[in-house]
Formats: sequence, structure tokens, C-alpha cells
Amino acid sequence: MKKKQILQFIIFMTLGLVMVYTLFYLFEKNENDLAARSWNGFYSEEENTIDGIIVGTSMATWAWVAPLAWHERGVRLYSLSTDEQPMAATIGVIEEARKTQNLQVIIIDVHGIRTSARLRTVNKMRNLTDSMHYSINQIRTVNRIVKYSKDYEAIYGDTIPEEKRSKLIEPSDFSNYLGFLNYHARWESGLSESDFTKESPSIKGAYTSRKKLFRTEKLEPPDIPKEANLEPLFQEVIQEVIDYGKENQLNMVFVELPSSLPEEEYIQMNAALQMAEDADFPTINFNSDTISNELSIDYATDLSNKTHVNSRGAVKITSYLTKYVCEHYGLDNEPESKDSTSWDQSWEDYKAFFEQGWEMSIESVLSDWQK
Amino acid sequence: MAFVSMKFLFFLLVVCGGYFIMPAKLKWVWLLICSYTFYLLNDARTVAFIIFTTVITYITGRILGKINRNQKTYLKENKTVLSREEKKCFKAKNITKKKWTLFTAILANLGLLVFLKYFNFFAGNINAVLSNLSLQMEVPILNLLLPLGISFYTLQALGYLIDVYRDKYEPDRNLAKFALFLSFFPQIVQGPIARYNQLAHQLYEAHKFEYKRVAFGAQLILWGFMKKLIIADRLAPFVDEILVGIWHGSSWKYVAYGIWNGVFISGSILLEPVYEKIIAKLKINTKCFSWGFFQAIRTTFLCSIGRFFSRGVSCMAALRMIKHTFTVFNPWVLTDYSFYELGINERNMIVLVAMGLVLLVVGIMQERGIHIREKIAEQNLYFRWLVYLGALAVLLIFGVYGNGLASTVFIYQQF
Repeated sequence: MKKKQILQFIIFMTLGLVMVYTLFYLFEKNENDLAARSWNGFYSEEENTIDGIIVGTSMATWAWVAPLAWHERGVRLYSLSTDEQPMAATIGVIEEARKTQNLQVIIIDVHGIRTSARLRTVNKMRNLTDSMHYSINQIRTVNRIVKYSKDYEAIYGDTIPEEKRSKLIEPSDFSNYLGFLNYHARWESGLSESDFTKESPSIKGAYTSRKKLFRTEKLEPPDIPKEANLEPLFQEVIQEVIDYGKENQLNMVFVELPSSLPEEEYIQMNAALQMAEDADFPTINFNSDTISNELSIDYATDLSNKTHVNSRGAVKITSYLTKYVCEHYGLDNEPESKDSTSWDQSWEDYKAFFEQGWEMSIESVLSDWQK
Repeated sequence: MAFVSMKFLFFLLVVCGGYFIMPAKLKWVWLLICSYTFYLLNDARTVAFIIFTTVITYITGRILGKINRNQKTYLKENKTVLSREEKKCFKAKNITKKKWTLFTAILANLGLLVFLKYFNFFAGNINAVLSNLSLQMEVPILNLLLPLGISFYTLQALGYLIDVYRDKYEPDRNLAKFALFLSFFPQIVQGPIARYNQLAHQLYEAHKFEYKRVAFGAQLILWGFMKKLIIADRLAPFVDEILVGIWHGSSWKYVAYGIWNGVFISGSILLEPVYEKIIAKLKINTKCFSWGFFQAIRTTFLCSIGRFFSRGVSCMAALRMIKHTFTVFNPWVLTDYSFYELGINERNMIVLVAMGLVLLVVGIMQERGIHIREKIAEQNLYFRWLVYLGALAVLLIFGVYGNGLASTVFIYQQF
């Protein structure tokens, strides 16, 4: 092989890689996908302008209203939570956020380790990992979830319902890592310009499904038992997050968002919160009588269903957590940044969205506890 | 490990990379290691079968070769001493010896193939007959392993033995090299069944890295992927399986399909002189387009009839389908879009038609002896790159693979 041929080969391979990467970039997860839009929103933020993140399942997505936190205390805190996001992915999510942002606080909801949220199907993993940019961290995140799933199947395989078996994560499936393999056929359903633009949500950092956020389910407050017990596999998952936080000296706050679940699931979450407390991380249990009463959480009006707050509950949670992180981590009174206009606009849009949906002002919902 | 998988591509890269790095003497050893690794990765439990066939065939080949050599030497040394009758008698004795040796090896190799592939098929049929006769007997259905490419390597081994028996060439003296000939991994899944004198030396020789050859090889692979992933897998909803004869599966419909094809292939060979006479008598010009067109239509028609047997769920179903083809006139299925209900939408159809046209153009060019890769290589650098990258982009976007679009396995896999 002559020198000229070697050079040509290198140039050709480089061009090929550029082309392939462009295709990978163009044929990513559909932009209409909520998780993808949420991550796009986060990625589009300027470096070192985000104060913190909240990580969890869809419960955290529904419960967090970033524009309100901005409006009340100038705090820019994103929810990087996707539908049934595996708890085992928490470190990967934090790592991804830390690549571009200097996170001063990380809020982690522990609902991901309860019995009914433990099984991870491939689509639930891809919800998250296909929304992340291709990187070593994305690969590591997939590996963590795959490992968790393998361990889970090894212990609880017999309990997995038949209809879920075909949806389990296949460890050797290369498309776990490469979203392009899943989405290259998007042209079949028709493509338009919007399919190739990385749109951020119009209201940044907030879940805006009218159908889900403006409904109530009359629920009873849960009976929170005193016991705390968590199986070893899930203890391991929580411990890894704790160790990671300690190692990197992160300000992590473990929370249990409002829900109305069977008693045994609270026993598991109690244990998770206990582990965090033992490691000297603060915890907030929104289902405890103290906080529930302080915040006037009404299980008959503030929840959309057993596992998600509606937008009325969400503004209460956000307001409380914003106050908490400002008081404990000094996040408020941030200097005005360049992107304050977009945050202001997001607040205006969210306020209108909320008030149109409920036909009441946000202030009236918050007035009780803020006094 | 399917050919159309990331795993295989990675495996191929490692094999090729390793091959060109290896010292010349060890290149064939590397191929042998890779071939057996490929086999072990597929199913480690079945590796004993290919080793069995390799050893049996190798030993038999050596015995046959020895008989051939001894005969030649003896006849040469005693050329003047032996009478014609004695020579004849000696040869006859040797032929008998060789026949028995060959027969034993064929019995062992083919016996294994037939047992593993068709035991359950025959057992099922025998059980059906016994049941019809109300006899309380049953041949057990066994849970048998089916080694990867057992038909390919068995038939390749038999081809080798028959050639050695006929003294076409000397048997291989090196068992490890012979093992490579039988297990070479790109062939073991898909064939074709190669002749020893055509393939073996290519494997044993040390090939240096040649840019042009590697580039042409990569282009050929790319073209193969395009045909498989863009056309074949997209057509899969239409074509469940296109197979030939009992070799492909153990079912009576395949027997019927095999008979159909066998009759036409052997018939056409046997009747060739008759056809030639008819053509000469009718003064048909066979050098023109219309004759080629007629041949294409005739062959397509005959093959299509045979395909009813492979597509039908049973022989009876195939016969019903044939009857319907000739008795029910319904060409509107081609124009009323009802084929869109078979799992292919309009956009996919556009891709198929476009790729079909490319395939047609390539086919016509090949027919006319135009070497496409040579033609592309003659073009300016940037245009060449544009063609290659364009083809790669088309493959990546329009290929049938990935989540929910699993590529169908090659039909010859596991045969």
C-alpha cells in the first residue's frame, strides 16, 4: 500500500465517519418524544447556567415546574427524569448533566426502587439512553441498566409476567447503544423539516400534558409504616448512588414524592431514605404527615393518579423544593444570565398554561403554605 | 452469528485485520482458528460433528490416495512383467477396495447428516402410518442438535472424497489444513459447496494486503448488504421461503419441490440434443434478444410453479394454489393496492422499485460483461467516493434492521 493510498484511505474513512455520524444525528429519537425534547432542552442550555437537576421516574417529571423555580427564586433546575427511568441509571444521568453544568444540587426521587417500578423493559431504558447524546457515558449508562436488568432477572426471573418477557432488555443487542438502529426507519412514517431540528420544549423544564396534569383522582393519603426494608439488589443500587455522591462531593437530596401506594412499597422507600440519611444526605418525605401538612398536600385534589401529582401538586412540590435548596445551598439571588429572557418567557407561558387549565391562579394554590 | 449483524462485521474485521498482520506461514492457521471460533460461537455443542466428518474424510482420503499411488507405482514398476489381463485384474481389485472405502465414508458422513436432519421427519411419517393402521407403536421423536452448515460441509467432504476416488488430485496430507477447507467460516453458513482443487489452495496460500482487492471485496460486501437488507428483507412479507428440495427441510412439500426441480434440471440436460435438433429444424435464431427473453419467461414460469410447493403449507395446498392460479382471473391485486395489506406500505414499495431498477441495471451490465467495480474504479476519486458513501448512506437508512425490523435469517442458514 503506497503512502498516497494510505492517505486517501484515511481521508475516505474520516469522510465516512462524518457521514455516518451525521446520519446518526439526523435519525435520532423522534422529536415529538417527551423525553427527547426534555433532554434537547437541557443540552441546549448554555454551559454552567443550570443550578441543579431532579432525577427520578415520570413522577419527578410531572412534579417539577422549572419556570416556577426560576420565577420564585431565580433557580434554574431541570428535571432529567423519563418515564420509568431505571434507578440504576441515576449515576449516568448525573454524569451527563455534570459534563456541561456545575450542579450545586441534585434531587433524587426514590420511587424507582419500589416493587412496581423495578422491572425494566427495553423501551423504558431507551426512553432515557436514546435521548442522551452518543458518548462514553451513554454507553456506561446502558451498561449499568443492562447489568441491573440481568441481576434482576437472575433473582426475580420467575415473577416476570409472560407478556413482559419479550420486552426485556437483551444484553447483547447492539441497538441498546446505538439509537440509529432503532430510528433509521423513521422515513417510513414520513419526514418533514421539523424531524431534523432539535427542538426544545416551548416551556422549558416542565411537563405540559393537558390531559394528565389537569385531572384529579380522589385518593387517600398513604399509611406510611415505620418499618424499613429493602432487598439487597436494590440496596446495592442506592448504595452506588450514595457512594458516587460521596466520592464526588455532590449535594444530593433524596426525596419521596407524593403518592398513594400499597404499604409494602413505602417500607422499601423508607429503607432507601434511611440509607441516604445514614450517609449524611438530607431526605424529604412528601408523604410524611409533617411535610404533607406543611405543604397542604391534598390527596383528593393534588394527585393525577396514584403515582403522579397533577399540576396543582407540582407547583406545591416545586415551590417547596425551591425554597429548600435555596435555604440549604444558597442558590437564590443568582446574577442575571444571558438566557433569563427564555426563562421569563417560559414562566409566562407556564402560568398561562396552568391558569387556563385550572381556571385559577398559581398564587392561590401556593398562598396557603407560602404564608 | 448472522452475516447481517454487528457481531459478524466486528468478527470479520478482526479476522481480516489479524490475517494481514500474521506471518505468511501462519495465515492459514489464523483462518482455521477463526473458522472454529465462529463455529464454537454458534453452538459449542455441535463442534464434535464437524470434527468427526473432518477426521473420517481426511483418513478416507489418505487411504484412497494411497491405493491410487500404490496402483500407479505397481503398474509402473511391473509394466513389462504384467499381462493385460493381470493389469486389469489388479485394477479391478483396487477399484473394489476403493469402492468399499468410499462407501464406508459416505455411509458415515451421510448417515450422520440424514440422522440429524431427517430422523424426526421419517419418525413422524412412520408414526402417522402406524396410527392409521391402528398399531400401538411409536417411533420416538428425538431432541437432536442440528450443527451449523452440516449439509454444506458434508456435501463438500463427499465431493472431495469422490474426486480423490477418481484420482483427480492427491489427497490433503495435512489434517489441520484439511479442517480449514471443510470449516472455512464464510462458506459454512451459506455455501456454495466448493471443490477442493478450486478452494483449498486459496486458503492455504498466504495473501498479501492489496489495496485494490480489499477495496473490491468491501464493495462486494456493501452490494451484498444492499441486496439483502434493502430488497430481500423488504420482500420477506411476500416471500416466506424460497427453497429447493428435500435438502432444505424435512417436509413432503419440499420433496415435491425437489422432484419438480430435479425433473426439469435433469430433463433439460438429457433432452439437450433433442432441443438442439428442434431448434435447428425450426431455424430459430438463438443469438437474438427474443430468444433470451423467451428463455427467461420459460424459466421463470417453471420456477414459479415449483415455488408453490415451497410456499404452500402442504402439497395439497400447493396444488390448490396452482389450480387457483389458472382458474381464478384476478390481476386486479396488482392495481387495487391490496398487496399493501401484506405488510409493505407505499414508501417501502417506492424503495423496492428504486432498488429493483438498480438491480436490473447492474444485472444488464453484468450480462454484457461490464465489470462494474472496474468501471467505478476508472472514475475520478471524488465521484468514486460519492458512489461509495452514497451506497453506504442508502444502506444505513433503507436497510431492514434494528429494533422491530429484524433482518430475516439467510434461508440456507442451518442447512
